[in-house]
Amino acid sequence: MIEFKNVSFDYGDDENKINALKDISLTIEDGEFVAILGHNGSGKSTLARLINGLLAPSRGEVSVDGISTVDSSAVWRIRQQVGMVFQNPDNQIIASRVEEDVAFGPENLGCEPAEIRARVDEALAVVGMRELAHFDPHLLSGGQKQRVAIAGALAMKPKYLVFDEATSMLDPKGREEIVATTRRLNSDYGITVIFITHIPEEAALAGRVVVLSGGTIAMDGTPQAVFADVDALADLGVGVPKARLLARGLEQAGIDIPDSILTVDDLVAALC
Amino acid sequence: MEMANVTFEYLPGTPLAHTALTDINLTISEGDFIALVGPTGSGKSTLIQHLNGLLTPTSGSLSFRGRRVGVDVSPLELRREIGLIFQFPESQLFEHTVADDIGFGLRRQGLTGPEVASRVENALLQVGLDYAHYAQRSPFSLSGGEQRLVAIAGVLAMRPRFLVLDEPTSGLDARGKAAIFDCLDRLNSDGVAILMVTHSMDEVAESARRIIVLNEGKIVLDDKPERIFAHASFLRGIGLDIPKAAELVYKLREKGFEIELDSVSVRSVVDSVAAAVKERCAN
Repeated sequence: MIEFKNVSFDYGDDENKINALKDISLTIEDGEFVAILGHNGSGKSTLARLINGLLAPSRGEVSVDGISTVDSSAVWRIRQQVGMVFQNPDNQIIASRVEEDVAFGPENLGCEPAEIRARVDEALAVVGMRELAHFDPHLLSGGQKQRVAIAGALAMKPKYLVFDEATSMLDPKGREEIVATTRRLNSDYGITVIFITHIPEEAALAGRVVVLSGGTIAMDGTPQAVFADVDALADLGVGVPKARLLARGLEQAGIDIPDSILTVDDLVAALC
Repeated sequence: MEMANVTFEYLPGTPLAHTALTDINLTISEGDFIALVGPTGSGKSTLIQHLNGLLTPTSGSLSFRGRRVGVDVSPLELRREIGLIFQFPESQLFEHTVADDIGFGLRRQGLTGPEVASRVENALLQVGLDYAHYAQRSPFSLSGGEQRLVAIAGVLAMRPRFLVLDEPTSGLDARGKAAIFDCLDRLNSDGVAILMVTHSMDEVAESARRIIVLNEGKIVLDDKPERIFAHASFLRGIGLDIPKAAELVYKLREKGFEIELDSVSVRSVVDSVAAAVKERCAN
């Protein structure tokens, strides 16, 4: 379980203080798939970096499985438990062979060679990159590189994975690969996923959507509930799935349609 | 701008030779609003780098206002008329203030004081940012969306008549995207031709009036949006999406609805679908 208790975070010194998060309380249970939406500067990335102790809260407490992230004796254990995948795949890959890159984490954990081999093979198999284990990462597509980054995080055997806009630099195919991979990690491997994104269609696939605005939690609920109020989300600088916009337009044109529509298929079913 | 039989080969004559564009014929007119789409590796970036002379064709020719590029008009002159905005252009911001950054290109052209100031002010206005509020701030204190607009303003200050943008909205939030499209729509209604490369078919559906589809270095479709998306299965086959609004229309047609499609924007699809649903209920 990941827990934020009255967490605030300030950037800068006393004179130029930017209050990025304001008194956030949030609990993420094991096994959840939580999407986090919010305008640029709403505090999404700050929140992600607080989870594994890359940042320490200015006030309040963040804990992972009951251990505070400011406990310096536990921070390495927390970082092993909480894997991170960032926006730009090129910034996360350090080795000149896919499998060596994935091995970097377990090597630094001090694993035995046989254990490293097993972890690398398994992690690459999970993301569907086993065949490309000997490739040079710079020859891969963006989506493939991002899957290598995910495999690198998986090789640490984490309980939680945080994706910080991990799809925003990818083309539609790469994005699909990543979204499908994260969903599989959650449903088949029980990994808790925290998925930060700008893309409403991606957030709609989560079990729970948290909307941040100006450093506070503005909404928290199922995708159906959160995306129901199109105008409120627009005020928060957040879009909604296109199918939801179409549904709302039809509703305004006098057609009876439920406000839980999130996909074109939902909409077709409601109209037929 | 006209491209005639343009073919481009990377590293010709080497074992790594690779033909990125094959026999491209294309005319771009004043006031056009074009989306250039295609799967990764289809040649989109190679094509747009020809438009302001960063690349020259291996064979074939380009002409701008009837003058041959590289013969009657130099790439340098071309770049004054055609603004090219790369992906993540905010990474090229470097000056201490927004005004200095936008004015950099103008000063390099030899313009001075009042002329630079007035062009900078006008460029900020064009991207929808208030001069008094932004001019003296550091570009690095702005949000990602604002930085992108400042970078675009730096190109607009050169007063291009034709603007080419590579993925102008990628990585921006809903508000940032809307600001970019408001800006492009305004420029286009002032007569500036726009060509943008994008992966987002939903964005294409709302803005472009012409779509060019590239695949394996060739133009495979060049038409109005509503006609392009009639080729839904072909587009999916080469790895492209179709806009959600068009998808709704096609899926409803399969269910027996009779729906006309004269635009693929959300607003016009809602109108056509509402009319069709009401007619069906009335029968």
